[in-house]
Amino acid sequence: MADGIPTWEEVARDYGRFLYTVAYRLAGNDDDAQDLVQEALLRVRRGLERYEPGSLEGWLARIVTNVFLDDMRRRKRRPTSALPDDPDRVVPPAPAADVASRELPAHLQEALAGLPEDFRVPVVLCDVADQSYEQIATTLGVPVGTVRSRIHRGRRLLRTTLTEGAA
Amino acid sequence: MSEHDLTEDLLSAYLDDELDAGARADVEARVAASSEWQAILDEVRDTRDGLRGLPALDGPPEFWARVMAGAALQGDALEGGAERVQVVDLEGGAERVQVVDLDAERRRRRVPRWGLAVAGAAAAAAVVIGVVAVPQQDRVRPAVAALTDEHAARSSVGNDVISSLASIAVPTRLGR
Repeated sequence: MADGIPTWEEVARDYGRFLYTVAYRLAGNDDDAQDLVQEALLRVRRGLERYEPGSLEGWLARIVTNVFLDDMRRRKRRPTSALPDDPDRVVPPAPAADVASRELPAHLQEALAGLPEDFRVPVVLCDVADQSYEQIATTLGVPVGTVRSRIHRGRRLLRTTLTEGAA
Repeated sequence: MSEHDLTEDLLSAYLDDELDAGARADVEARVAASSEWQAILDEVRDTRDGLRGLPALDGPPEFWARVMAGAALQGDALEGGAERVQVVDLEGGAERVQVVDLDAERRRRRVPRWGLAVAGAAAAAAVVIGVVAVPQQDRVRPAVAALTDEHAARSSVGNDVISSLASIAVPTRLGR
């Protein structure tokens, strides 16, 4: 690391786990998390020259969040069909393919994945990526007050979901 | 902050240490005075602790090899770069992904500069020899030299120099 600016390889090696964790909590599944991480690392590679030494995790959280939000917008523009044209061509997933989900408390992960995106993103950035409200506001381009409200409502919704699931 | 400014979302901000000292004091006073707020604070704290207690995640075992290889491949396309991905078959049907240093590979294949210089000099020499040193053929038509030789031969036979000139003389009409 020269002048506080890491190489791409150092970012991938030292912060890959952080990126994957944030990506997984945002996306809710392993396949999408992998796609997010790959795209995020590509953007890291493009942007390293412009990186100003500071909170590297904050910078990476912003990148992976932007990748996730871009992906969400793309999916909304081009919704994919739930059923393929030829059902015979469907290859069922391997039973144990989703390694990460087996490692998590399933109910909490499911509740998080079920949160509306507007609440899930700030909650993940706060409780998973450990970002301040100010950083989250900058990432999302919204006022700090909006971040505060969404985090609180997101946690309350999670609590309600978990309580209803347990009943 | 007055009492009526207190909103419930301050409870999360309180837990996240995102309030200034005055607001913290207000929230603590409100929680102390309200069982409802106390209950909400407890619930939000439990949820927050649960989220923060989730373990960090690793991808599947082969994931990072593919990430590194894929990013290297895309970086190569972006930067005209120095790496590419190569999948190597191993025994038992397994595969291993490795990144190849393309710059090193190009250096191995590259014709050395001195070789190019020699080839250029040889081509220039061939051009010079072709233009200057090889005798040029007489491409003038008609072949004047051959005609004058023929005339000389004929005139020497009959000793009639003037009449022998007729065969090569250009007819000329004088005026009038």
